[in-house]
Amino acid sequence: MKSLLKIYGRYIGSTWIILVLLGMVNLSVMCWIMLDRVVNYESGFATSFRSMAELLVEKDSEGELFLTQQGKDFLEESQYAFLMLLNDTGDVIFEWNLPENFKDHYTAGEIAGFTRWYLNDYPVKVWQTKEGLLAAGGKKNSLWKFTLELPMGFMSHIGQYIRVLVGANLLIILCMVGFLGYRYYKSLCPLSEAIEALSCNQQIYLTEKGVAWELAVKLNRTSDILKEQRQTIQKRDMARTEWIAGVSHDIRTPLSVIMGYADELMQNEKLGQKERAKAAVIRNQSIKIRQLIEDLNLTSKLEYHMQPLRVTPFYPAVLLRTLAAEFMNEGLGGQFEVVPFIEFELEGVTLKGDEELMKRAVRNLLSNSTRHNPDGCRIWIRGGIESGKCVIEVSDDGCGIPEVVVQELFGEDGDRWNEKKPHIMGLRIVKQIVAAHKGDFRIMMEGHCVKMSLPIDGAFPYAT
Amino acid sequence: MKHIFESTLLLVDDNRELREMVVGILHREGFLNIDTATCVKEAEAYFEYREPDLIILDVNLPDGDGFSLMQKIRTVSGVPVLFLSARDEDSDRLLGLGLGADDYMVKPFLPKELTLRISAILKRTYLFGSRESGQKEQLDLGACSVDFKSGTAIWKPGGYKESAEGGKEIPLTAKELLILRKLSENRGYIVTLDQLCQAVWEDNYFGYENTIMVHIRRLREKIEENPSRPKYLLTVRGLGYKLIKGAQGEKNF
Repeated sequence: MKSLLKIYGRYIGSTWIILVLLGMVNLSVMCWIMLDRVVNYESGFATSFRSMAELLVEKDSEGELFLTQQGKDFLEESQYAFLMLLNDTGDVIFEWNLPENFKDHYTAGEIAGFTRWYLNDYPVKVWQTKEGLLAAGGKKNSLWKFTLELPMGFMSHIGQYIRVLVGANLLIILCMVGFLGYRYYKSLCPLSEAIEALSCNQQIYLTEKGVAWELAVKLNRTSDILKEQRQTIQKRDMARTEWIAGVSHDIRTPLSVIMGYADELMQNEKLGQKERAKAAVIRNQSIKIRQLIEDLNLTSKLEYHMQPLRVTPFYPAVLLRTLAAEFMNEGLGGQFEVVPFIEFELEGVTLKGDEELMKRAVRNLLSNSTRHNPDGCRIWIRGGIESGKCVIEVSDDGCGIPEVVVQELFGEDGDRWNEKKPHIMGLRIVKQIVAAHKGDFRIMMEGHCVKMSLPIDGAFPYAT
Repeated sequence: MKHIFESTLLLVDDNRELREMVVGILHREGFLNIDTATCVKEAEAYFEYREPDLIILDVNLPDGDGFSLMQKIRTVSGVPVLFLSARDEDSDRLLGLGLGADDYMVKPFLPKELTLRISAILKRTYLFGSRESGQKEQLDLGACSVDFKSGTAIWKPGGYKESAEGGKEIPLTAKELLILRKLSENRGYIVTLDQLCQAVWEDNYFGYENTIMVHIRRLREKIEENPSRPKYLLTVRGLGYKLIKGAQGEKNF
């Protein structure tokens, strides 16, 4: 919505700039016309006529009037149609090119008339010379004559009037621009909302009307396509998850038989030590396969959001203590030392989520430390609060998580299978569980520390 | 009362190999009467003339599912049921247990776990050997022993808190007894602060930090020879407490 408002603002701004530019262009064109055309005309047709008038007609030595060469050149050049000279009584005493139907006498009224207006549609210019009233006619339709008469009161306020007029114009333009722009903005609003919704992977439907109906149609189509794709992907993910679940289900029964008999052979005292040791290996490897199929199942469900989270509030401090105690109670030959450090601030704080899954995450981290450090190591479990989030850290002084694994875990092409890729199901599950709880998962200290930050649900409900 | 191994078990599973294996495990464990059924029909037919003491039931059966079979059985009998299924979904687990099953085990499983669970259900249901599994009334702590019945710590003659008459009885408070009870039930294992608070105060640990410490200190004064260097009731820093077995406990920890 904000972006649309910005567009609206820019639209108003650019309209204003266009208006100002247009006004300036108009003004300069008008000035140019005034200067070039009118002033030129003034100098060519009117002013020069005035200045030339005295030179046009002269009396020769016998007192006859004649058109001077200079005058003839001038008239022809300036494209005058005719020229006539009237004496004081209104008789034509000299003429040049006068059309035939013209009279040779004019009354004072007629003279006044053509002085101001036209003579038989010829625009006429008049100048009083010493020989008489010189009247020169321009070509028909070559000149528009208009007499401007304004009251002096108006002329003295003309600046003010112009200002008011321009101001009113600008105001109207501004209002119109604003109004039209706003209407446009309003009609685009649903489109913008729709695009936002689309970017959030939501489905939309716009009414296909108004100025932007074509866009609305296209957006609706886009939404439909996206929906279809989503459904296809979902179907495929579902099929994959179900397939994995099915396979892991089908493996369970035969694996039970293997484990059962291996266990029996392992305890069979009639067998030799070597055979029993082999049976123990079969049994332990079967247990590993069981873990693997469980992990595979869980990771595929988490990946495609098919693991329903049983969301309840739980205490992370209690969870960490329980897991640390569980780990120590297992008593792993004393090679591993667990150092729990649960900050006081975490007591009474609750998180919302699937407690069993969170336990699984921490257990995975603990077993990761033990599995990769067969000679033993020290493991720290820290729980605390950092910038409003619950932080759970599991770190050890063992070999640490190799860089390849970290890269694989946070890499882009996590889906593609590659034999050389490290097996990181345990850590991937941790990452997925943290993500399912809208938390942050990081590996720090060159792989020696895994840090999870999780949003806090509530705090100190038992403080009273 | 007949012996636990004389109980009749009915195993319902459609996989022959698995049936044979489980029957073998149970025989070896000592169970004598094990019957099998391969499908819902057979199981129902079995019930026509006999009622077992426990049913081990698969969920996926060729002609139906274990859940509905169990519901049917429940209408005529309250026999305990243990589900043994390849379905590891939490929803299945919850469904089974919600229907009133006594346990739900996911394949693959370790034989020992199966036999232990079966024994536990049988003991619980038919009270086999209830005397042995009942709560212990005596707690042996070397020079001192705690009698839960009288609620006293009794020091043996020659013990640290011995009086002139030989032997000394120190009364324990109700909370101290509850703490000791919880710790002795889990002897050798860590009991977290949270578990202890649940057991003694039925509340969350938060807010009881000092209370617990005070109670433990007083308890040590009564049962330990040297309360500041306890031999039996040990602190596991940041986690909880542990009552260790035997006098060589110091080495254990």
